[in-house]
Amino acid sequence: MKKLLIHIAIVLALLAVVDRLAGWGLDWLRDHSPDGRYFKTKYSLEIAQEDVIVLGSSRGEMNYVSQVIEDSLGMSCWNASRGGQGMPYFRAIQEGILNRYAPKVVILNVDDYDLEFPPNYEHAGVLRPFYHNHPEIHHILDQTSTFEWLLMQSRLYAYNSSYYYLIRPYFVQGLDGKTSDKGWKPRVDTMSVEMGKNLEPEPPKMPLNPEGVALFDALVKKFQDKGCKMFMVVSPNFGRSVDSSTTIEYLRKTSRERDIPLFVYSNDSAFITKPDYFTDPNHLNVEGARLFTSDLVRHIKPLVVHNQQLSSHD
Amino acid sequence: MLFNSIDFAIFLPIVFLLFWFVAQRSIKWQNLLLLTASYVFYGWWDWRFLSLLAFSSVVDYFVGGMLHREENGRKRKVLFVTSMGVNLALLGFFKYFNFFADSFVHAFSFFGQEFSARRLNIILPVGISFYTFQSMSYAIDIYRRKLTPTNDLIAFLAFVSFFPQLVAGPIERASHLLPQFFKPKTISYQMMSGGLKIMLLGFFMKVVVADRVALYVDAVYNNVGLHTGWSYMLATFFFAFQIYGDFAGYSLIAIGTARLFGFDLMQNFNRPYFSASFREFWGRWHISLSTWFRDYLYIPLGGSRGSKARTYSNLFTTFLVSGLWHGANWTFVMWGAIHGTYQVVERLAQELNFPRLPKWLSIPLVFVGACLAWVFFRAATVQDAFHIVGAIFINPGHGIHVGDIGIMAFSLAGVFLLLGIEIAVEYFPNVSLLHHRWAPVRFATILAMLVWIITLGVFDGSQFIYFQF
Repeated sequence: MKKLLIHIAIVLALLAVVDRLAGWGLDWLRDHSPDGRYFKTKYSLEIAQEDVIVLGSSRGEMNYVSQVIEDSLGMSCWNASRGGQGMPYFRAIQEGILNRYAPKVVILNVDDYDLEFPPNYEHAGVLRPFYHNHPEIHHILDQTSTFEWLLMQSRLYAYNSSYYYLIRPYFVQGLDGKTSDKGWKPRVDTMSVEMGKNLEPEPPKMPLNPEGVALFDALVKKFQDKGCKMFMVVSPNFGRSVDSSTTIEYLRKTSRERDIPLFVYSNDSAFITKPDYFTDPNHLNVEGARLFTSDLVRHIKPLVVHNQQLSSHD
Repeated sequence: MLFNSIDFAIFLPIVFLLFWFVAQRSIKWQNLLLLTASYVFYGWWDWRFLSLLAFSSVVDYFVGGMLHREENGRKRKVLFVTSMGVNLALLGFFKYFNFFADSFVHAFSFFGQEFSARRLNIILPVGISFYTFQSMSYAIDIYRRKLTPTNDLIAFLAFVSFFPQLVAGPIERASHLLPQFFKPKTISYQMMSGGLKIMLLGFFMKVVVADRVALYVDAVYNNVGLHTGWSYMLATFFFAFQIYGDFAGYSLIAIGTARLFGFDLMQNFNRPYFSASFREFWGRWHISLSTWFRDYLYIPLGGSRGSKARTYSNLFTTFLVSGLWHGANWTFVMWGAIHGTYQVVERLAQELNFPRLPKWLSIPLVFVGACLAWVFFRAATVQDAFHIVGAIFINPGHGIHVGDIGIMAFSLAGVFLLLGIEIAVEYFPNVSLLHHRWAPVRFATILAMLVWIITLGVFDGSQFIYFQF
């Protein structure tokens, strides 16, 4: 038994050493990434000082052109969206940003059925490499699993499954958007006719998910409390006109109660009937994204200018 | 409680320390502790079903005792039927009620008759197929006068509920496992270290291979109709390793855990994808179940003692029932039927003196045949399965779904590493890095496996596939 315990202790000690050494190396790769997913997340959490912040999932990442927003509003813009993410990720990024400064404008992209589903904390696990340097996101990440705080003691675990996207930018750049795109992930392809035929059916009407709604409410309240001017946007999907879903109804209610302008594009025939604007049924391509962002900022601009005038009078 | 959960990581050392503290003093207390630990392990999932486990065990314990004492053949038969009836009724109700109800409704509507059957909201108790089979084998062996029953209720309950193999096997026979509950236990370095190494390999197979490839398999199989035949082919190839990594991994963790407590469980998998025939495949895949069906179904049906036609019929029936055992769905019945057909065709070919294929050809052929059957095992419906088979063989289309490149890369790395390990063990059994005579090699191998598990394992608390059976 003594021999076994000694051997177990040796293995654990070696594992701890490898864990720390590998952790340093991986931290270095994360911090020096020339672009890509980890660069973007690090920028959002630690560097961004832009006036306008865009927050959303893959639709947020592909549909909002930072350059167009900057040129139109005359303000700097960073698109902090990330594909496959939802409210838990948005809340974590929000914590990282508000910990440093309060952006003047926040554009929040909400998918038309976002709040009907429980928030996916597991997906927010992509933030694990940032756990140790960011205590403000612990309360979000600790919910990804029961003993997450314990597992996070391992630096190797923090980088679990991340290697491909961590190393890729050192060899190929621009796949998640160039650094000059400021968070936007442009997609040049136009969707195929086949894709247009195999559309996802519209989900049945469902009640709101209380957990998702609570996260959304907290997100909105926190930005407003910090004085950020918020806009909520539901972006278009090809071939699916959604004028009203439980989520959209809730956004309308929030818009009224909190005085946050809401722009619903999911029923806008100028987009949803034009396959040339889409890279797949859910995401706009470069042409579509530019037109969409231009149209959005056309509506937003007067409100932002008005808000700035009010602020300067205060 | 799942093996790949933090709950189990806390539970196991506590039970281990308590066990060895108690085991040095009293076998009775040792068994009581194992029983309590096993019930906690099972109740962690849903404590309400503990009553089912206890009821099934207690019935077989008392019926077993009476069967042994009773000399009257008719009364023995009644006792035996009672035991079988209770176990099969529990299994039938919890696992198959809705399946048969739905099948009746479909059968009636097929003939133009409208018929409605009420579905019940039944939760399938985890591992019910495993522990009822283990408990049933005890009663059957006593009925056949092949086993003397125990008169220690605690030991018997601990045998049926022994937590390492309670929910997904190996399905142990009383003649092998039960006596171990009465043997004094001594701690040995070899046993403990061997157990931990087996567990490590099991975890590797589960979280690095099975759970990783599952991400791709689910993406394809959950969207049947949207993929090409090439994607279905790759997903099916991955599924072959998913189910193997999942189930063989679970068995290894179970065997390794049992060793930590001084128990020896039977080998459940023996590199099945190196089988040169389907007969050999079933001697290497889920060995505890295939031997169970051989001893308690195939042989009682007549085995190969009757005519050729009867032998084929017995073989086919055994595999059909085995399919149904795996799940209350026609997909599993089809899977069983395919394997039954393989067995019959193989026997026919043997009897007609067909030339034996060389191993380099027969091994891949058996693997492809097994994969074809896995399509039915994994697909949600029989229609989906036929669609997939059609797409693979008739209309493969163009292109292949890659999905997330990271997931694909790690999936391929996991599968080929496992394949490498399997080839090494199959063809070079003396080259085992985990058991190398030079300690630094052993330590480096253990360390490399741990690092691989931590860095590339999937840790979302996913269930072992075989729990549902």
